[in-house]
Amino acid sequence: MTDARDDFSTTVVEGDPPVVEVAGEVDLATAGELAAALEPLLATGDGPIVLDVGGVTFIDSSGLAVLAQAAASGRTLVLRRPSKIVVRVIETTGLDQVLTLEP
Amino acid sequence: MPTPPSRGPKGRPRPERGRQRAQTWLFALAFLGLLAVTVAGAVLARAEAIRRADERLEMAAERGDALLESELRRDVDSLVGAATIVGPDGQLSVATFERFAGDVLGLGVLDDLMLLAVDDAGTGFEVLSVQPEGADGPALGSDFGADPAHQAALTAALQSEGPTFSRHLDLGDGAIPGLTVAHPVIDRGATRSTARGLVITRVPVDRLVDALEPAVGEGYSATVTDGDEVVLGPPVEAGSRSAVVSVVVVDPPWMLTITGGPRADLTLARFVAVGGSAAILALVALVTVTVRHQRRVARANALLATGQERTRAVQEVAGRLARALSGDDVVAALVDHLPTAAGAASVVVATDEGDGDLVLLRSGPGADQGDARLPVGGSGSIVEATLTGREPAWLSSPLLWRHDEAVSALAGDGWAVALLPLAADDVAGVLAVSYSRVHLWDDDERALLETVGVLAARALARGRRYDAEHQAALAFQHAALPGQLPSVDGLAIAARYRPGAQRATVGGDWYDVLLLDDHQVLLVVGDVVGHGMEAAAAMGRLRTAFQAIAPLRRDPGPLVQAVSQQVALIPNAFCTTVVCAVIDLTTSNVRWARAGHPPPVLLTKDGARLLDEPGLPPLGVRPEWVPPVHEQHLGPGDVLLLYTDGVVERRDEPLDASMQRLCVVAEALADLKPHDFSDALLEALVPAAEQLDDVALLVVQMAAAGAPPIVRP
Repeated sequence: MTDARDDFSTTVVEGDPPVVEVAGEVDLATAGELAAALEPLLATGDGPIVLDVGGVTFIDSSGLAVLAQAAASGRTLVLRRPSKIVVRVIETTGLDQVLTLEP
Repeated sequence: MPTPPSRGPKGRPRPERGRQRAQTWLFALAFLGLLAVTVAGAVLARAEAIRRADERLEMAAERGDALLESELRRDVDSLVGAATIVGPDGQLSVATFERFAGDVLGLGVLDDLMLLAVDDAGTGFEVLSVQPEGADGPALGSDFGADPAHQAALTAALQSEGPTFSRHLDLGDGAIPGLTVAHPVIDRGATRSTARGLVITRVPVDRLVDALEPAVGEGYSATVTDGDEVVLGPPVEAGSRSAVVSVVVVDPPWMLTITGGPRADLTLARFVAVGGSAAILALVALVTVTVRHQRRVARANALLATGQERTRAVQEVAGRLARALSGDDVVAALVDHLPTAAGAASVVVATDEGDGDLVLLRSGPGADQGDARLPVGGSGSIVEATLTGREPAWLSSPLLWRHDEAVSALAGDGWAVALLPLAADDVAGVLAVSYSRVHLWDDDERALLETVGVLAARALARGRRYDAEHQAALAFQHAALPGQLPSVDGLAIAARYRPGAQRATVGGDWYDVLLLDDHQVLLVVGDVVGHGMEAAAAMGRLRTAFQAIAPLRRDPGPLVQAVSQQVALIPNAFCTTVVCAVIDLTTSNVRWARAGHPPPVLLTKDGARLLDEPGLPPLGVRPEWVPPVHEQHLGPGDVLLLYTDGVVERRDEPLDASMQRLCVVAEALADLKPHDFSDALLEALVPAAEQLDDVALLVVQMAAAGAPPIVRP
């Protein structure tokens, strides 16, 4: 089995807005980690949250569900530096309508 | 500084030998690690046996270095400060035990060469021999072993049952002054024999070479002679870090190997002796510790690094075990990764599935699980003991399992095998770690492997629970999918659901076909996030929601929105993706809407294309939004494909490329009817062995021109 977790990482950079740097493959194995990184940010404040996904190479439905959950909470979620691959997945799933994509 | 005793261990006066006092700061500490086994007569061809034995023992010597070093460090640590040793003859010898940088590494001997042996319990030393340099002494000559007297003496010494270290083996005057073969000892307990012995040389390698050269000849290639079959080799190189001299005499078989040279810190020697039907394999080790502190420290550091590396590698395996989901994952983690981590050749996992036989477990697709059964061998067998006693078996040599078929099967081609019990919950089995050469396990290594065994058993038990749940989820999933699709005149419909293979992923994807009235057919394909029973349950409820709401909201847009509003009430349904299409058979138009789902594919006589008009985010994300509905006319024979992302998702390529490939494959298969088309499409796009996710596929083909579009409810 592939071990997506080996390369996956999240780093929270406190600030306004807070930035979560995400790298690696976001999938069933790692989505929980991403959700855990977002949880405290979602629980405090009401401003936008930035996800720097420049290092994300793959995202599946489990990862998208985490983003969708955050977006459904009413907070503005900004995806910064998404790769073309990530952008296409976001567009195909219609999540570009609820996420802010920032080159 | 006291004069070293000039007596043998028995107190018998020995000839005056030492005019030249040893200036060398050379010191020997011996630890005897040993195994003794019973051997029958030679089975293998002798020359081959010699070659292989030599090879194995040479390999074992490398392993022995580390083993001995760790033993040495432990023993010496308890002896720091000790300075006086009383020999069996009552005389005193003096040595200092030194500590460097926190590690006890060096032993300075302030006197002549001294041979010490650690007793079995590691509680003390016994002086075996003290021999000044340059003295005449027992020696190894080029005819060593060929002389029947030597053989008899050695064999007798090895087989004797005298008190510890009581015998001095005199091999007579020889060609190599300074080489002593001393005191092989055997203790025979009730269960096994152990042989101990000690050999030391402080002869520089080049002198050994000189002495052996006439017999060994140019190039030092192995020489086999008839009769006594004396083999000399492999080559000795002057100045080499670890020169090796081997002398093997097969009949009676015994072997002397000396490893070491002027720059070597370790000297190892081994005996194999056979007398009558019994044989004794003795691994005799002698550690020569010099006062070259830096080298000792470097060596110790290297050893420490090796230990740390091993620990790290095993931790890596433990991590894989912890992450393994299914029983297959567990077996794969062990079989694929433990050998490297443990420095072993291969790993076999075998479990008792309840009928008393062991079933060899292998991992991965195509693994043959059927015929790999072996009987445990009944009470008294090694495997049976491991299974019932839950104690590991450390089998250092094939001699230890010659008559045990179960171990033979587990060890394969291995020359040593560790059998670790697997016992946790309902798991009972054996983890066999085999090595390509004779192997000795030190305490740390044993502890590590035993830990792996415990973790593996737990992981296997957990994996089985996971597999059971997986099976349940699979059954549930199939039960929740449509049993039979409605028959619709004017449409040919095929549907497929396939669970993920490799990661035991099941549940969440679904398809459905509903007749809304006498001319409208609803097609639904959806995908719940995640897998397992929860996903399958959410899928079942979502499918029911569509069935319940569809008669009231016949347009796909309002229908999807209505279900999206229900999602908050259905556990695990949030973010489900879905595509809905309603085909009107009177107009041959299809209206569709999607939420988070990949676009349908339309296959016509002009080719395949994605119906990628926009949709909404997945269900529940914006339940207040109504998804846009799109409409498309379907010609006779046109095919509509609805599918889940498992059909197109690839980690190594962009989604666009994957969807494009779907179109290309669909075009290539355009001649096939929906059932064959579905099978061929999945086979081409999602080979079973590589399938990570579960997939659902719904293929609907309009009747060819001329067929009457009549719906039969």
